[in-house]
Amino acid sequence: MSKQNSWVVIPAFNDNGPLTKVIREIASLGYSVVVVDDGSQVPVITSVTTPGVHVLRHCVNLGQGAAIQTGFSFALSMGAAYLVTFDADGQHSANEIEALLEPLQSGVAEIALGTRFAEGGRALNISSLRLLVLRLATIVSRWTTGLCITDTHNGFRALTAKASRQIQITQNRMAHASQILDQISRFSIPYVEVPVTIRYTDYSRANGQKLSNGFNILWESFMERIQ
Amino acid sequence: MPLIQPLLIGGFIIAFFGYLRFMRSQLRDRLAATFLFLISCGAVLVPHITQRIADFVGVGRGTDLTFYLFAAAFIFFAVLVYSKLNRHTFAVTAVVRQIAINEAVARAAACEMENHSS
Repeated sequence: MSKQNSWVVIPAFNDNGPLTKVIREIASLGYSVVVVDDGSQVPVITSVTTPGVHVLRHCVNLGQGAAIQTGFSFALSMGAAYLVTFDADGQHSANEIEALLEPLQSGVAEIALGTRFAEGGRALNISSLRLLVLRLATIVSRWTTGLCITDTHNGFRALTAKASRQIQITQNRMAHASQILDQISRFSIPYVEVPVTIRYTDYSRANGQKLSNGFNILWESFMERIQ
Repeated sequence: MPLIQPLLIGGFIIAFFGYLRFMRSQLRDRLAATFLFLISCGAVLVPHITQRIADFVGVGRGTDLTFYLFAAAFIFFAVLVYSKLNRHTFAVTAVVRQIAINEAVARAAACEMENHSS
């Protein structure tokens, strides 16, 4: 099956790290790539020469959720059959995209959620505090959504075009990950978990999601529920 | 008349007419603001009226009743502002998204044309 109809969406903001390497790795595997620059002070990519790589730029910073939804909308308008969300900071492994897409292509599920905590998944160099917070967040997600999941707020996931049309991300910032799980539950979208490796580096720890964001995420998720 | 009364009434008048003059709002919001303005003026000019209402509803003190109403009004306006802010955020997001997509589609079309011509 052609990999060009699988689009990898990479939200990026003020990146001066491994983004170029990440794009090159994914593009070399034959996937289409859409980088959404979420209003960085200096554009993360100034020119694109690699075929199959598209760069979109928000003129103001909206948040990771908004960037992902923009990437989805663009990829769908370009005829994407599968969409993958992938972090810009080098935490994810491009070689594992195929494993995420496999259950979608075989028709087993409409959404594949990457998990670092199921058997076969790994979280390299994760701090004890982050591990604890993620474990607690997973329990909360299981309780609020009713989904049988082993990980939450893992940005490595894949969706079919049909599922990504059903899922509408309106949480512009980090609560989008909870919103996706909520919508999977609400629309009864078939999903599977796929073990993946998340590699924490000094760069990803410095630029990735802060643990203190957990409170913001809880607040945003709560406000969405009562609206 | 105690000095505090004209000071408060003056403040209410400035706030109320400032709202009507400078804030674009719906008729419903203007009516709510007018109601709030009249109630506030009434409470300041006829202070014992809050005590009578408090006795009637069983709160005890007029001050407590005023405080409870103020707290309720604060929560109501906080929710109103939050909801308006959300609507604005959705609108801004939609515009920013569409601009980004349009630019990328135009770039992709230009690239394709360039490839065809070369």
